[in-house]
Amino acid sequence: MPAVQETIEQVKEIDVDKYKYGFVTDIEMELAPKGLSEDIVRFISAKKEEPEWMLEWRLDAYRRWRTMEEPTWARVDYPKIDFEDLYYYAAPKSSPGPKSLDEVDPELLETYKKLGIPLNEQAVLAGVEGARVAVDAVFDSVSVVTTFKDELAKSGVIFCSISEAVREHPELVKKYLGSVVPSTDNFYATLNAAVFSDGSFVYIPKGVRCPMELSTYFRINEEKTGQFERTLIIAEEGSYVSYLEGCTAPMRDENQLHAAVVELVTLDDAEIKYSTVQNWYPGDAEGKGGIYNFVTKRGDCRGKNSKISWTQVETGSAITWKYPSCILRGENSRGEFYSIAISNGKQQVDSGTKMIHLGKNSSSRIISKGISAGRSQNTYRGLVSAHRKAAGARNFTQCDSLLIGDQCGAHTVPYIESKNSTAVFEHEATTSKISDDQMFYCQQRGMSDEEAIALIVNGFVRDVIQQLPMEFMAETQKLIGISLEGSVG
Amino acid sequence: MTAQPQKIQTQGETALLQQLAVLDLDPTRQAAADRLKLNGLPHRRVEEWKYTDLRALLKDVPQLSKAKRTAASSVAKPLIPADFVLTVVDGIPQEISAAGTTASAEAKKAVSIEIGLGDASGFHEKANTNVDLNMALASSGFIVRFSKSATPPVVFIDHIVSDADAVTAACRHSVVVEKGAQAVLVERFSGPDDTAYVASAGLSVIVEDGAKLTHARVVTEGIQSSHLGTIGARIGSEAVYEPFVMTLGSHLVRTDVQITFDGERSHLGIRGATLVKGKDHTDMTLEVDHASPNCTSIEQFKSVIADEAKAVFQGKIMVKQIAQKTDAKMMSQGLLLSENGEFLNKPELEIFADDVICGHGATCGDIDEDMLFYLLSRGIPRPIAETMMVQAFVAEAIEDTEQPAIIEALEAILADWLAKR
Amino acid sequence: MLEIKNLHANVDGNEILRGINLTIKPGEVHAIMGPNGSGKSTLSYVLAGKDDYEITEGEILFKGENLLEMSPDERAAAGVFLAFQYPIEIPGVATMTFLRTAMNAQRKARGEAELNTPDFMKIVKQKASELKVSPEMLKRPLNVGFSGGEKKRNEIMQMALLEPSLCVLDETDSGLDIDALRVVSDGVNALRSPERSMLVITHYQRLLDHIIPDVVHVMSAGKIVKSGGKELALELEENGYADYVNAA
Repeated sequence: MPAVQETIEQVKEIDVDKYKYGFVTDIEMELAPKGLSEDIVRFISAKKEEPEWMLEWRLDAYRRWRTMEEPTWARVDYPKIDFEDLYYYAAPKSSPGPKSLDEVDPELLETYKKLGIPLNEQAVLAGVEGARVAVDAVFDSVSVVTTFKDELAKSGVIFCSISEAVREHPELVKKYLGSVVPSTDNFYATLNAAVFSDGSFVYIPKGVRCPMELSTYFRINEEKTGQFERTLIIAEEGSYVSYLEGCTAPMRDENQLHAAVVELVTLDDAEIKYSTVQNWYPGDAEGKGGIYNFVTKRGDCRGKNSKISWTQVETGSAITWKYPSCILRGENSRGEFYSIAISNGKQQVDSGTKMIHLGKNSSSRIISKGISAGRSQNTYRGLVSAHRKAAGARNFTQCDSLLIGDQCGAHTVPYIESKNSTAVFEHEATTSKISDDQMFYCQQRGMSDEEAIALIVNGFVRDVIQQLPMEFMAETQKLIGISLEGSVG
Repeated sequence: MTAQPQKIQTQGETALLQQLAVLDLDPTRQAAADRLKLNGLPHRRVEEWKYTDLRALLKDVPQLSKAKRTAASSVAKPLIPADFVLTVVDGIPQEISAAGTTASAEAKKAVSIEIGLGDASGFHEKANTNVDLNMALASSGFIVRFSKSATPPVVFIDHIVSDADAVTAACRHSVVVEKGAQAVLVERFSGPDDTAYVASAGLSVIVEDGAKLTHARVVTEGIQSSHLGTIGARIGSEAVYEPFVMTLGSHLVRTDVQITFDGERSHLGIRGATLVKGKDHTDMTLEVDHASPNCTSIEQFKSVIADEAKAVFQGKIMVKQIAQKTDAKMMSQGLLLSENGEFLNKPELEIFADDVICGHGATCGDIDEDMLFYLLSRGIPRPIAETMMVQAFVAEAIEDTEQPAIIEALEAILADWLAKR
Repeated sequence: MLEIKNLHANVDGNEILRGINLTIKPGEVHAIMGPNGSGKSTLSYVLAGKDDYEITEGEILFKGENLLEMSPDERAAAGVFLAFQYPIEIPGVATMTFLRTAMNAQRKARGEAELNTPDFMKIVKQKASELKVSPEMLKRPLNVGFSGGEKKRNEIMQMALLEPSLCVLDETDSGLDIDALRVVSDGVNALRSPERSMLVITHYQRLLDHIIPDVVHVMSAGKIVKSGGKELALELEENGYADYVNAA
């Protein structure tokens, strides 16, 4: 099988400069002192001009975190993180908080321009006529700008940084923050609760269909800095929002820590569609550098007929530890998880979802496509459970893994727990490689090996790509190509 | 994940360690006992025991039986017609009596049976609490070797617990099917309903190159008992191993099966059926290690859950980097007959070779309403229709067994369980 | 034989049947035709007693007894047979086992003695050969891997074996080629008798070329909107259902 052999060789040659977002922005930063203590928590809270209750919440979490141990159950292997050797707060001196577009440091605007993120409200995404996306841009620990805020406000939609929400909409934050992912949830979520820096806040009022796509763009720039963003999205009765999150980081030799928490709440008949294109720096071919991505994402389908749909394209990070989940509490509520996880080089992915059926006739669907290349390890880990009262619960799970080369691993670890006889669960998993027949067929029609692999891989992930907002489909297809650089042209 | 040493010993742990401490153990048994002492019994935070918290479930480890080896006095009717009927009473293998042997001259020539503690080379090297328990507790068993013969000899090993007091009955057999030989092995475990005895049942199997073993293990222990079973098998080249594990629930049944492909172009077909009711707790934990190229395996398990019972299936297919061209298919299905039953299912794939076809499927639910309606609409009353559906569900796993006598025996056990439900 | 009075039925809160009135006398063959979604299949399931349907109004008398109070198996034992549009596949249940269980269950319910094995085998073999159901098919799990034609022949064979007094045929012609249609129709026609009534549900007229009905009904939006002789079917074939859909 010459094609595969060649692929393996090319994967071996994979070079850091294929990661095109690896540049560093040279900008003067304000940093908190290194290490973690109550004082640092107070420092962050003070920087954000937070009310007392918020500080107390953070301190509670901090004290609890000190008693917790790092989880070890995931199939990822990394040297112990020295939590005292990190910066927990880093903000550009010129932009300590979000401002209007004209006030933002031109260096930052240039950075986002280079990343292809339209912060100019007049700009439209390349190639998509008239598509407008509101963006919250988070740079290290702070949100630097949020676009289209005024226009969104006209429909009653609140879209701002979480720091701003704590100050401006305390009643909403108090009611919902930590209500889906409690500050005691797990090691990283608790750490996040103590030191979360920024992130986005979205509130869609009753009956409103959000007039445009919302998006947050996360950028880690500073060295030795942890990013701990926190996102909270609330969809009131009968509302709808589609939200996209993107992430990149410069190439650095050290590993950088990213421990985010995302909480989604849908009330009766509401729907949140949450898409992620995760492209943190994956480290070089030898596994040096890259982001440690330890993320807790959870949605609570609190209302009847409510729906939460997670779509994720995971191509970056040295280590991914991430399980976007749905608590299907409402009657007839629905959870969806569509995932593409691509690992190359020495990346390690342990990702999946949890669908927790509590409500009657709740339903869920999981489509996971894992692609392992290079010397990477790619694990799908998922839980589907039906509790006693979840009569009529339904789940369908399809987990497919594709291996490119014989130095990588693909693993599937589903937990399927049924405590209700009327719950019907179906799970299927397959692991295979690109068949020589498929390759030969494509080659015979004149495609190069790389073109053929690109074609076949894109076919393999098609079910998931189709779930992405249209504006991002093409971009994602390209990203898949870049991620499999060496395998795909 | 390794278990941390436990500070507070449970009654079960204390009883276990006290017994082990006074026994005169050989180095292998001592090593297993030391590991048990260090780790204690596993609890739900140990991944492999997530659904079966042995600390909580194994309340006591009664005294090992002091029964003597005697000539088997009475031989129960074997499950299938057998050339050799062997009996184990309270964990002690009984002398092979003439009454138990109806073997032809040819079968006698092909089978050698000894009493003793054979090696445990069929098991994985990785430490496993269930295997350690059996290694430490078992002092004897049958050592059976099959050599080449024209027709496969049939050996039936009947395990009985007879003691009126709760005992621990532990034994471990060692079975070798030599190059090119073929054999049928059937094990049965049973005991009284009125004592909370513990049965530790070990079996090490070596299927050598070109050999074939058809194996059935039937666990029908007393309702208060705890059965801790282990099967460790290694399969050589161009060899076939076809085990079936039928488990009727009791207080606790945990079976750990570890299978390794040591040679190329071999096949494993492992199937099982678990039937639980009342407050039974059963756990089938399977690990298949494709450590050689060009092998195929089928893993098919059915669980039927009634009342408030709980059935666990954990199945892992591991494909090593060297094991190219592996074809492995696992299916685990649960049928919940009551509102309060639980089916906990964890089918796993761990794959390090790229040129493979591996998959698993898992389903659970209650009896399909459309199917049931079809039967009702033909005039079949609901209880009969439901029984038919359960039989059909389990039959899918049973009917692929090659030996008609085994199929018949398994179907009879199923029908009996359904009738008594 | 069968008397349906002002029958209303809901599925998931949607009213599918909206006042059906239909009387079938012994020996009569009635056809119900209608566009997709008019409620034809619902009527067949309601007659057989599937529990997804909620009867909100009306009654069904079968041989003078209240059919709606009977469970599906009691209805079958009383003589109601539904030939399914999509016969259900049941893996693991051999066709032969199924037939035997069904026949004996019905006999038992009627207080008759169970069939012994030789008698059972003899009667099954005979009916099977009439419907071109191969002995090999009888050994296979029920309907599993059967072609569309095989499934339908199996349905009619069951009908012949169970000797019901009311046969409800739900789209029995769907998925059949001309030859299979003839085999199935011959099987049905062989069962026509003065004591046995039939309700033939179909979308197309072609089945009624083979099974000649005494009465044809047109169903639309959950009601019977027109009834007539067999010539009504031809008229529908010519003009389609458009007039009736609009009328309803």
